[in-house]
Amino acid sequence: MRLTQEAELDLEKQTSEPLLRVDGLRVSFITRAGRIQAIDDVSFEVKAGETFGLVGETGCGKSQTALAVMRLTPEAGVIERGEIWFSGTNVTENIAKEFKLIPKKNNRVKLKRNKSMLKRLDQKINQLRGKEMCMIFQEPMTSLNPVYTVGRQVSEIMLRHSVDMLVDRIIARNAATEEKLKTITDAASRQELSQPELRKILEETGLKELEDQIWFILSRKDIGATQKIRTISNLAQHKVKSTTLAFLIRLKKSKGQLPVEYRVLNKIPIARRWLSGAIEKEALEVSYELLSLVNMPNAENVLRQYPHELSGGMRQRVMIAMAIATRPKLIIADEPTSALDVTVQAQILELLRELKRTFNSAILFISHDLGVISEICDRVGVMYAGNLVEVARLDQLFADPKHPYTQGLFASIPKYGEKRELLQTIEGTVPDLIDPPKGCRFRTRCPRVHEKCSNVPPWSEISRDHGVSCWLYEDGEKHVNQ
Amino acid sequence: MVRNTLTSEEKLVQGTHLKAYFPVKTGKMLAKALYVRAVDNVDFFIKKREVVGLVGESGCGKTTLGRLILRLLEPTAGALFFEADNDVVKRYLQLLDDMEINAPRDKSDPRLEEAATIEKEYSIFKYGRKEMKKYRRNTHIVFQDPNSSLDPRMLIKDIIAEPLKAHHYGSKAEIYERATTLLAACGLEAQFVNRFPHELSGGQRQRVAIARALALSPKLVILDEPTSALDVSVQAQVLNLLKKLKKEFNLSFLFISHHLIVVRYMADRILVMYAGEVVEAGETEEVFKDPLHPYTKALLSAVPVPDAETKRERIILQGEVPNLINPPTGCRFHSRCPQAFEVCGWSPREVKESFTFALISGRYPTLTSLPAIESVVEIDDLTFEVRLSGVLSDNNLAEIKKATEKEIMEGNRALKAVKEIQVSKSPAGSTIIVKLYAFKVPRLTLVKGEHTVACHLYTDQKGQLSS
Amino acid sequence: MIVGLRDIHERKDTKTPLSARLREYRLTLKILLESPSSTAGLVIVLAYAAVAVIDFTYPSLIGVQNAYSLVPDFMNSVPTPPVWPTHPFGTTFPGVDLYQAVMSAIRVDLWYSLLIVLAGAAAGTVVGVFAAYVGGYVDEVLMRFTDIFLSVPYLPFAIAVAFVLGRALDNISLALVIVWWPLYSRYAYGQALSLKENAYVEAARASGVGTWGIIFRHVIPNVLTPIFVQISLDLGTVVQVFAAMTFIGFASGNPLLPELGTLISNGFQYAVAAPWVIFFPGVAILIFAIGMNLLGDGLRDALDPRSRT
Repeated sequence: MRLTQEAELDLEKQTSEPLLRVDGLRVSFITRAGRIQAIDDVSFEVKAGETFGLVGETGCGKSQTALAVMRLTPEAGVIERGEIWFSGTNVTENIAKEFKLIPKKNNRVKLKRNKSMLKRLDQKINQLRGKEMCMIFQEPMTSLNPVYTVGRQVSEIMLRHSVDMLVDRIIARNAATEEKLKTITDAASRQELSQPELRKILEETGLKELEDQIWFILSRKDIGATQKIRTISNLAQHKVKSTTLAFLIRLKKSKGQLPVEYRVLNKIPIARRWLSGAIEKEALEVSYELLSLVNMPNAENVLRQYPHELSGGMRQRVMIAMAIATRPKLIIADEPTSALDVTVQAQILELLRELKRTFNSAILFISHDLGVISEICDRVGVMYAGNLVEVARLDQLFADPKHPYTQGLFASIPKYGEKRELLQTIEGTVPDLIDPPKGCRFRTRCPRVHEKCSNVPPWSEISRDHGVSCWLYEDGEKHVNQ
Repeated sequence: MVRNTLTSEEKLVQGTHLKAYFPVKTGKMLAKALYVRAVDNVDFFIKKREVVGLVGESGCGKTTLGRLILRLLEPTAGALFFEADNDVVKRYLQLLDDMEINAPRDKSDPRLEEAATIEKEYSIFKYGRKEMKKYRRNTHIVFQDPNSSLDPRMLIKDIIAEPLKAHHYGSKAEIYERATTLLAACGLEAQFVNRFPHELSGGQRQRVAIARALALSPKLVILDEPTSALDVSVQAQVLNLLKKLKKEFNLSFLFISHHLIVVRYMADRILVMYAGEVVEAGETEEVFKDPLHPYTKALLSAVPVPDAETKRERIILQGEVPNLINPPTGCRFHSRCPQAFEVCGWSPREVKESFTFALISGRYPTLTSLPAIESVVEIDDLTFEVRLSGVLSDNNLAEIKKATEKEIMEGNRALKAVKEIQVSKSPAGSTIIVKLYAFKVPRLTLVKGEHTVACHLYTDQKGQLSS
Repeated sequence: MIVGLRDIHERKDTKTPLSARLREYRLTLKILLESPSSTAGLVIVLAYAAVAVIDFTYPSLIGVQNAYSLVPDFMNSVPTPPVWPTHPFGTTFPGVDLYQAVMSAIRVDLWYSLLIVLAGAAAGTVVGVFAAYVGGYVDEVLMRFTDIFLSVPYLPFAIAVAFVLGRALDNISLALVIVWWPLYSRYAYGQALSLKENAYVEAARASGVGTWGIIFRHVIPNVLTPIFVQISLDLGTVVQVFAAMTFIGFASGNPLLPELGTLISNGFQYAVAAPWVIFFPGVAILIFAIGMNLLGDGLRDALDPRSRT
């Protein structure tokens, strides 16, 4: 696919520069009951192509961290401090001007938002959201619009973000002649083509925009070779009207900046069909390809169905299809399998692993289930009460968790196959975040607490890739005396 | 039929031939009545002081079964015996078994009457109001969602006192004293009595629910996903509490959960349900170490274990849990089963698609010369016909048979059910007649020890254990 | 979505159930007072209630001499404009001091409206909840019964009742109760239908509580909150309807009974020349309706469990 090549280049460029960098993030919520310090001084990095997991229990702030990255923090929330860099852009550039916290009496604060700055932020970040970073939510029923068909919703993504890709495809297909396609089909029938080989042939015949479509046809498993050949040859027959073609060429020349008349006419339903009809049809075609990519059974019918007619697993596949539509660099998955059955969860995780291999997207995977995390993540960050307490590679975290909370978390899960009498539990409950414990927020429940813990613990590097926020490891490993 | 190998043990609860069908409102007046077959012919038992785990995915019927035990739902058929004389129950099962063999059922059969008499006296589904109220003292339930299982307008102490009041436990003072004692047993201090549920955390609310369930010292408590809505660390606390209470109060639990790691930890025996039926049952460790049913194998392999090292063979199932209104014929798992074969329940509806697809897909160049397909018609439960517009030669027939075999080898399991392919010719065109193997519904059979499974891989046609 | 409020440590220990409930009411009040519109509504409603109570107990406190009857002055029957301090609202036909008339009329209208709404709500709620919980044929029968009453237009029905039973405020009230209860029946039915699926209802059944026990101890109390909101919204409407009917002429036989609609109809002929005769009674109705509406909206938001954190 086109982007894999780009991704390869990007990877070389960015081995030093992480795709996502969160630095000293602090997010609070202003409510009637007080100011909830939901996230406090969280910093981590996600490199291109890696899967980074955020694990923690309810109220630890992991979901809010993801929302902050997308700048989707809810109304009552404010990013007080910190920087979030995504792909070289600072999405928290103007937070000082966007929000103002005015202190009132008896320790309360009032939140004032600067509407014009926030509007500007929206304009800037809408270039990134949905295109370079996409999100998959936990409950697919509420994130899919119940009154639109699946096909319409998936197409919408492309109509918003990759119109140029669609236009390119239509124009290229119009330029495809029988002979050009024959070169391809001949090559395909002679041997099993790999993707780079296909790409070369397409570049020679000047049809490189059709790479996605032709590759999709070739990799279909449900039709035989002869039918594939026939389908590819038939591509030449799907042409658009000359007026439409002229319009599309003009559109392409103006680099996606829609001419004024177009914008006006596009609002009128009949004119819209004449103008954008071809683009919308193409978007639907791409939607079909995407649904097949996510192993949706009966994809053609599904396009016409509504979300409530699908099962949970299928809806989640639709969400995933929407998330990968623009081949984003970062996919944020917020508990994507928590609402699904075990076997469906296995299917979805398998799908995500497959997509990771194909598209090389980075994934920020949020979950409370350590088992799911162990299935898909490369590196993991553990959060507790708004703090990031430990970050490590998957194998490091599971083999040798350092932070007492992480250790307690592992101990509370029944060991598969061990019949122990009672589980080890973590004493107490999660603290109230309106008035959290000073210093280390875990000290009220930590079995190894001591005096130093009333101060915020420093971040210690146990080894490369493994860091802990705990006084026990102040001087590397030397401090551990028990 | 599951044979009772443990004749000396007293069974606390025993359910037989339980069916729960719910009518579907189609909104049309004279439409044929459709039913969701939520629980279809389930047998089970729970011993005293035992924890039985009930696992399965959504829609498998485990929640419905739990409700049936408490008679919060009325069954469509079946009986449930509580603390009944073991001999009586055995006689009942014997009668039902005998009558099954000699079908059709004769209304004047004296065995029918005897069975009905036993039911009337012992089955809780035939209890009157008074007996039912007495039964309610022996059983209770803890629900999944701690938010909606406590009345938001009632104080904690009233919530726990409710069952005590309903059964006239004693004076007001006695009732509230017991409530406080129960709260303490569940790890909540006395200060919680005068609070509302929304002032408590999820874990605390679940403790209240547990305290309420124990109010009348029941013998059996149904736990319907009691920790699924709780955090991991809170879950650990609640599970420890449940273990402690089980010892203290001498309880039996029916632990319903989809969370296999937790079930393995808590249960002595487990039942695996799929699409309304019990497909496997046995001692927990036995089933986990040596799962027999293909569904159980897939289920266990799908469990994400928090362990960076174990790389297990993952069986990824295709497809979705079946529709319970029109469940698959034969074994309900056959369409997704990686080990399905001829007798598992393939219907013409399923096979015809695969068959015609094999013909027209273009994968078999020898078949490209076949005449066009006009229609595909299901003739009866085991036959379907493919009508072609042209003439077929014997050579074509041989090619079709070869293609079918190749498809089977490629993994198209549906075609395994094809028993015979014939061709009939007529001036208008030819017809391919496909006949399928007859199928049977698998029944729970004892394989070893206490381990039972309902799968044709382990029983031959006659229901006997195969090698 | 708002994160992490657990274990509220500083909660003052609740010694009694009463203090627990009081805490809840205090919170409702606090939320109400945060919104200016709800506060305005509350103030208005309280003011009207105060007037009604004072008029009933100690009328001279607000300058009313005869709380139970209008005091006509046939010598000066033509309405005179407002003059401070003798006739702050002016006078209306037939020589009645409008201020005193309106103050007493407020009491009368409020009383009847409250009665109508509460009676209708009580009857409707019980019917609706019972139908929803029991289901089956009972459900069908009761709900169709409700539908029949719902389809009755209130005006012709009130006319019919007045015709049969005679003109009296009590009869008007009866007619309005009959017209009003099905609304509550339907509303309570819908609420109860979703409530009965809650786990705590099942838990009560598992505890051995009978049908009626569940209805009165679990379903109705939880239905009461939205019903209560509905009552407060309806009060504003009923006052208007009641006044409208008396205005049209279905008043009591007693033309001297202080009642807002009667007042308006009394002074109607003089409306053009002496607009204050309809202005003051009309505004009295209007402000009450607005106030009740604002309060009802405010209550709905304040009682919403989500806004209470």
